[in-house]
Amino acid sequence: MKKSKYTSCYRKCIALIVMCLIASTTFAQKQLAINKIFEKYGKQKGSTMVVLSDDMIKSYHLDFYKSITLPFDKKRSEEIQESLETDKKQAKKIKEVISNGIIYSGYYQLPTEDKLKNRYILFKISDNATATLIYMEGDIESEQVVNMLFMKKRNN
Amino acid sequence: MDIDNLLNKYFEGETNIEEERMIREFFNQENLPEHLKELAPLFNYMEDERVALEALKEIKDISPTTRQTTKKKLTLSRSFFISAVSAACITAVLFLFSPNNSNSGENQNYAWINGKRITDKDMIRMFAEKSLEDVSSNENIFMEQMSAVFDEKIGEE
Repeated sequence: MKKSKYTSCYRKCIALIVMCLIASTTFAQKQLAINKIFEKYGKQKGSTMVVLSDDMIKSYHLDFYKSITLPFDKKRSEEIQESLETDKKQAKKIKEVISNGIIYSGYYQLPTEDKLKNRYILFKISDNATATLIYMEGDIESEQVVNMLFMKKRNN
Repeated sequence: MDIDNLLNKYFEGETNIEEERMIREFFNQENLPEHLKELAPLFNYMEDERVALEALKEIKDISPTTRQTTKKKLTLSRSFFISAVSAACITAVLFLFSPNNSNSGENQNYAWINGKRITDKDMIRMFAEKSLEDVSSNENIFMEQMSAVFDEKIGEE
C-alpha cells in the first residue's frame, strides 16, 4: 500500500518535471543570447539603448525594435562576439564581415514560429571604437531591411 | 434411486448436493408424473434462484477488476491533468517574471542615454535613426555584402 502511494507520487513528479522541461524548452527557444548585452549595458553610462514598439514602428512593418550603441572594449567585445556566435546558430541567413576572427559587421535573419514574421540582428563595430547592436522583429522582409539601410546611407 | 425415495430423503434433509441437482433436473422436464406436478414450482424456483445466484456471483467476480481499471484510468488522467496545470502555471510564472522577457510584447517606447531614461518620442526616434546609421554607414564592405544579397534577389526574380 505504501509502495503504491510512493509510486503514484513519484510518477506525478516525473510527469511534472517532463512537462516543465518541454515547456521551458519551447520558452527558451524564443530567447536570444544578445538580450543579456541589452540588459547588462543598456542602462550604463556611455551606452545608448533605444526600445521601440507600438505605432512608432508600425509603418516600417516592425513590431519591436531595440538597439544599443556602446563603447567597445575587450571584455564587451568578447561578450558580444559570444552572443552573436550563439544566436547565429539559429539564423537562416547570415552575412558577416570577419577580420582577425572578430565579427566586424553582421546581418542575421532568424526564423520565428509565426512564419509571417521575421527577426533580425544587425551588428557593426565603428571606427570610433563603438559597437552598435540592433534587434528587430516584425513582418518586414529582408529586402525592406536592406532598403532601410541603403536609405540611411544615401541620406548621409 | 427413484425420484420418490430421493424426494423423501430431500424432505428429511438428508440429500447431498449431487442428489439435489438430480431432483432439480428431474423437475425441469416437461412430462412430469401427475402426483409430482404440484412440487414442480418449488424446484423450478430453486433452479431459477441457483442460476440467478451464479449469474450474480459472476458479476461480482468481474466487477472489482472492472472498477479497479476504471479507477486506475481516472487516477491516471487526474494525475496527468494536475501535472499539466502545474507545468503551465510554472511556465507562465517563469515567462512573466523572466528578466529576459524583453524582446517582444512591450507597448512602450523609451531610450536610455548615458544612464538616463528618456521617453520623449522625437528624441527616441532620433536615437533610433542614429543607431541605424551606425550600422549602415562608413563600412563599404558591409554595404557591398548587403548589395550582393539584394542583387541575388533581383537576379532570381
